[in-house]
Amino acid sequence: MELVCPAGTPASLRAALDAGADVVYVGFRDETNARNFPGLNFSPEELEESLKKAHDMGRQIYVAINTYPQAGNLEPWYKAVDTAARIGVDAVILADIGLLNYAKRQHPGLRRHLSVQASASNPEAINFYRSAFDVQRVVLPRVLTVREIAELIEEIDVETEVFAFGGMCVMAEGRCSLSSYATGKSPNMNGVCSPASHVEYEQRRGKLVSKLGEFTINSFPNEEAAGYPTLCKGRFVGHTGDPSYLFEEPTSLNVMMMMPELIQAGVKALKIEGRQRGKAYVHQVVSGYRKAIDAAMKGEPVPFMDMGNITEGTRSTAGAYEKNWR
Amino acid sequence: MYDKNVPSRVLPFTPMLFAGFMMRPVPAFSLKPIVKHVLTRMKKLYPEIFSRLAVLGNTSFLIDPTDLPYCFCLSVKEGETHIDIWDDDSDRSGFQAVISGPMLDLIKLLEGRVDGDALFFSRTLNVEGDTEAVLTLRNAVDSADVALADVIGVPVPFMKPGFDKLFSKVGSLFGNLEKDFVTVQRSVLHPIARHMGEVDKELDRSADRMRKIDKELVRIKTSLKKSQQSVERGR
Repeated sequence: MELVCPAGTPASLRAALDAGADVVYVGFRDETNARNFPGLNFSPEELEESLKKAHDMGRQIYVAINTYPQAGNLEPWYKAVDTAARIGVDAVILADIGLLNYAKRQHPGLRRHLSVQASASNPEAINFYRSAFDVQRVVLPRVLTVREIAELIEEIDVETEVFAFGGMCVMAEGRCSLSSYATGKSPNMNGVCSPASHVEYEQRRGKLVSKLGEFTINSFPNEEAAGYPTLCKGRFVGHTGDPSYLFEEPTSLNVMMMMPELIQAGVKALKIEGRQRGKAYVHQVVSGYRKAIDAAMKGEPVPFMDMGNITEGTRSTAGAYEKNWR
Repeated sequence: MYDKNVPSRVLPFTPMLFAGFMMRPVPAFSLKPIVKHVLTRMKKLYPEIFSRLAVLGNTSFLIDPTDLPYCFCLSVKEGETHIDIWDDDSDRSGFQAVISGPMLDLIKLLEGRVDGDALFFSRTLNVEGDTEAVLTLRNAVDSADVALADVIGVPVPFMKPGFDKLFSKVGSLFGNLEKDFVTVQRSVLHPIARHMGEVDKELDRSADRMRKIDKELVRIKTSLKKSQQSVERGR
């Protein structure tokens, strides 16, 4: 079982490697990746230096180029693929079929993974990506139960990578337009869900009020844990007059205790979300998951590790993996 | 954008709060050379931070350690970063963003020992104003492995091992004190929190009763209206 960990900066990458990551995934400092936040990500020079360090330690680096190229402006995406290939990264994580085709044609030796942003969750879709673009691995959306994942693996000839910890995205990934409805920018095209330029926090009568564009999306009383300013985790006033969460409460995904089932299902890699988080987060989560994987692979019980201090809303869930609401 | 008349914070019960009481007679201007020395050293040791900050253009941050009687003004002007220290009651207008929280947590954040989002989720850290600028600053600082002991530095190299040891001792002393303060705070606040919990429950029950009364009132009014209409029709 491979542990795939996030890094938004070279310091986070070092933290991930020191904590036991098998692979670190990163993005370039532009709109070609789905974590296009200010001050984050890697320049080609930083990536080159980081790749040398990772390879010296016997580890790997994947590069996410997983937003959808804009019509009439394909160059940044082509350039990102070319740069990743020139530097010699171990794989690129792509979502767009045009870009997959470009990478296959221009750099046939460059390993291609299908991003979660492609939202491929059934055998027909995944087998198509395999036959058309020779993808070696698919990152599955966070909408399947462990049993569904096991059944899917039986029907495909591609490695699977699943999210294990971090942001709990409840939408159809790669197809969510909530953020662009409110701000004109989306994670799919611009690499930003709730872009910071449109987010505002205010202290109002002892409450923390979060706003996205023109919309007030939450109001946290003092002492209540806060969450990210995303519309899918907004608290809205319905016809009952009481504000409540419409889609999902602020919470993080954590499937550490389901590790034996995921191994049994035949999952090849576990992915930690959070390139936008600090190196302290990266170190804590990666260390915890390293211990958990090592224990589970030896057939030992997975030790309980409290991650409450770094989760959104200080809560976590196994989400769709156990789908206990059905 | 920052209104100092709005009480947006509760002073945290920390060792720094008491250190701050003792430092109150020390005016901010006397600390300026130390603060400027820290920034100069950081620029020398961690240039990557400042190259990531350059994209900000002209932005000024108010960094407010809520348990100290001072605040810091960090500004980026045409790619150059500057810092100043002010007394807590100075004019705070004109800042694009305000970051406030206990001093020890701000130091941990600077050294990358704690995750900024986690501090925000737990409401330890408060952010107001230009969120994009705050994120840029957070990401820039997190891009380097900052060690405060190296930043402060020692005048003569042979003293470094002793200095590092002393720095680490002071750090763990403050860490332990911080835990003790949390314990004391919990013990003191527990009975009050329990009482407040009961008051909250009673308020919820009262709100429920009020809602039921409101519904009943609407029902009575409707029924009264219908009765009046049937009386009028009968005339």
